[in-house]
Amino acid sequence: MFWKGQAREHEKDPPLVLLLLVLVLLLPSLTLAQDDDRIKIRFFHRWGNITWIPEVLEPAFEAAFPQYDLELRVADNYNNAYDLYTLAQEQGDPPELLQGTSSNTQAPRDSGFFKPLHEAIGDRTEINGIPVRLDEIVGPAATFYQLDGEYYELPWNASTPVVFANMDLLVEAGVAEDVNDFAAIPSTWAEVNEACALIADSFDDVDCINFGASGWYFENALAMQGAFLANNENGRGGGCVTEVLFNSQEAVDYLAWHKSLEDAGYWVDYGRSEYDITWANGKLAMHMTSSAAARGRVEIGEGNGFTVGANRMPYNQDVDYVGNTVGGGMILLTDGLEPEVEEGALTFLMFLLEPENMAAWHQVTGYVPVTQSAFDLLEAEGWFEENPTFAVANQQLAGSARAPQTAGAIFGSFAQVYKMYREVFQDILRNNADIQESLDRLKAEADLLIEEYNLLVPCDA
Amino acid sequence: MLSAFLFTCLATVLGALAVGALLRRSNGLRGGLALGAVAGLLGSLTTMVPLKYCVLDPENHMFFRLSVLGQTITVNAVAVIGILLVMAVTWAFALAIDRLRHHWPARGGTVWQADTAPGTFVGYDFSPWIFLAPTVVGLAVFTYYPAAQNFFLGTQLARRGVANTVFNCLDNFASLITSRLQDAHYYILSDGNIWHAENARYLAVFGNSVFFSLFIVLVANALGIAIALLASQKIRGASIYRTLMIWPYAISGVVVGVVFALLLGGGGSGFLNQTLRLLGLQPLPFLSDPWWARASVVAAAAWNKLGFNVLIYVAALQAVPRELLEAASIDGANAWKRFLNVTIPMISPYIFLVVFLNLNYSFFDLYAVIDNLTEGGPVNATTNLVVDVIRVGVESRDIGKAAAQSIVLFMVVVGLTYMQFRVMGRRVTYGAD
Repeated sequence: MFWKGQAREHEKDPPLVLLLLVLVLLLPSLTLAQDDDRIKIRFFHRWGNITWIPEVLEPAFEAAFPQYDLELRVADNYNNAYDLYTLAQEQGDPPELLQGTSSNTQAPRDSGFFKPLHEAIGDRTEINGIPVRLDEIVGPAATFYQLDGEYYELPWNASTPVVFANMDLLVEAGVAEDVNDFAAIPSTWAEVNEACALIADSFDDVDCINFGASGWYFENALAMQGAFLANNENGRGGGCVTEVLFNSQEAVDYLAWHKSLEDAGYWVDYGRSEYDITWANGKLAMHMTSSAAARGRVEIGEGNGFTVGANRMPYNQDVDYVGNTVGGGMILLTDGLEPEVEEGALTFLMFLLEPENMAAWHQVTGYVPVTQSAFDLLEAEGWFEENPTFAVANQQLAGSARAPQTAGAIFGSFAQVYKMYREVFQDILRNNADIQESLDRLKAEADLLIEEYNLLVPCDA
Repeated sequence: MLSAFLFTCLATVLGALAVGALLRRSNGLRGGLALGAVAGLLGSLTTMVPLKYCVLDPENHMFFRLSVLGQTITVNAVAVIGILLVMAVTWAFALAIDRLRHHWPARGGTVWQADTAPGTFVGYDFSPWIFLAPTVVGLAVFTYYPAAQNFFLGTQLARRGVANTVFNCLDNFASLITSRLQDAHYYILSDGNIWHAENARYLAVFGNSVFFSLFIVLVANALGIAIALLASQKIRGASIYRTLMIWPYAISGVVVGVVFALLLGGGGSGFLNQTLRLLGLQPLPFLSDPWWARASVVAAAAWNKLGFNVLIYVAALQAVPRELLEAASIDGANAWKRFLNVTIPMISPYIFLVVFLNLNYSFFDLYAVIDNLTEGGPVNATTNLVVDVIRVGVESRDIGKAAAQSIVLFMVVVGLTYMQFRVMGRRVTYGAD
């Protein structure tokens, strides 16, 4: 029995010849892999859902620079991307380029993982034949990613908050005269309340406005009113940030306005992605969100038979407007690369700023074309005239002052503080918590985080 | 230096007294005192030397207030945690020494031979270690070393991605029971409260975990047994019904969270709220009101677990001997009494198995459901221990505080496991004997 069983088992084994055959077949592919002497540039980004990147951008770059092999790696959000990048650093094999977020600029700078862009470029005006277009970067997109006038990272997917409106609803409620009357979309706080009152009178089942109870709008609201988010001029005035200024009168005013919308039932807080459904159903009149959502908003509108308009983020009509700030992301260059690899990574970064690439990126997504040349190209093509919804973000940033208020605050625990906003705002909006007291508490908690961060990374500014 | 010496002496004396009293039966008074003194000395040295006796530093403090029966005292949280730590480690040393003393082999024998229990390993002194080595090395590298690192991290101000760390004593632990900004205040039978806590954020998170666990276990088990009873009926197409009832178990937490988010959405778009609107009723704040949101998480998680519970209970019900039910029926027991006095005791091992599996699930596996349904909100109402660890450690990159939190989670695991062994061992009927 035993021998019989063994014999049977042997019969099932793949013959040696078959294994050899497989090896022989695999050999050419191994040789091919060795033959690929292109320089690998790994770009770790978070836009797995934007197929334009692998389908258009990557082949275009590799066709223009056959010596480079651009390898795309994707994370599902900025936080995960940075987390996985940190792991890769700890294991000694980080990707060459990482997409970071505007709410986490200082901590990567302090990590020692990255090389400042201006240091890598030096005084060169072109890289691999591509012009260096950093001096073309517009408005707050420029100042946000600069330290002492020098770029640390490459601004790429920059956006700013704008209001998208269901124009059909606005016309029906008497807020706008016709569906192309985008200027009628309220652009001040008072106008939002007035428009919402009209909408509430006209419909029973339409929500007036939705926007996140989150940090980005809060920061923009302060910048618009000319207030600083943190001391030492947002950390850009020659000293490090040691405290935040979240409890300023401007901050209280903004939240009081937000609360007035909530109290009147004009502002509705949706769960995750729920606004998409309400928007698609034509039951939401206005949606304040990132200008990068332009493509999605417009397409949903077209698909559901209503016109989508856009206008600037509403500002406080009682205070002089200073400017908006940008959000989104930037690209960081890993430090310690081999010179030829660093050259390849820089080439790709400059390739992104090429007018046609930046313009296409804007058209695909709605992100602001951050260079003047890309903007000019789009304008020459008549893009903004045909797609006025896409023009608002650039107009808003063009009208924003290049000032420390609009450049955003820089401190290492910014990302942590960013997460604290939501809790406090919900407390104010839902639980009727006192605005000043809540902001005082938020400031105290944020200051503690800053103190802890500065203990770990002593400030040497 | 002097305070450290005095502290060690005090720990030795108190250790001797406490351990001596507790272990006097097995060691005698003198033996117990000696054992306690050694354990107290080791307990204080192994904890306080790595901590550099920081709990004695008057500058190292975070206070909380405690009101009991109207009397309020202010307590140094860092010192309290330090003392509890020394006590726990002292007790662990005492038990270990006690065990070694009583099981230490006679000269020429082995540790293993001293044990006369069935299944004792008999062999040469070194041979067990050879067999154990692969497991011990694996455990040491992948479990004990990371665990020790975690304890170390718990005493540091540390951030992911920042190489520098700063020793901060037991502040990470103290911040779980109070806050540096505002002292927590605990009321026990005071100021008209049986129990009340102010500024105790982590305690609220802990409370959410307990709330979820209790109600998920309750709902998923009560419904599980009820549905299993129905599914056990001999009706046409029973297997199809059973399959349909079990399938939620195969769905991942992420999908459960998203499905319930779509069902319960707070604005105009949630399926249930749209239905309510169609019926002319007001929408309900399923995800935006703290208690509704908690109930929504319980509903989603219980639904997710229901299939598994039904599966086990259907099998359990099939194992209940018909004769017992028939006998009870002949004795005049009605359906409810048969269920209560025959079925429930007979399926009790399964109930305890399911209860503990559900408890483990609701304590440690709820992240995906909560993250996709409520994101821990509104205002932390649905943030439980695991969600908070991930928030603090991964999202906020504060790995020092997250390490302290994960030690709390570890203690919960130990507690639940201990409870599981105790209850499963003693209170469950495993058959006629």
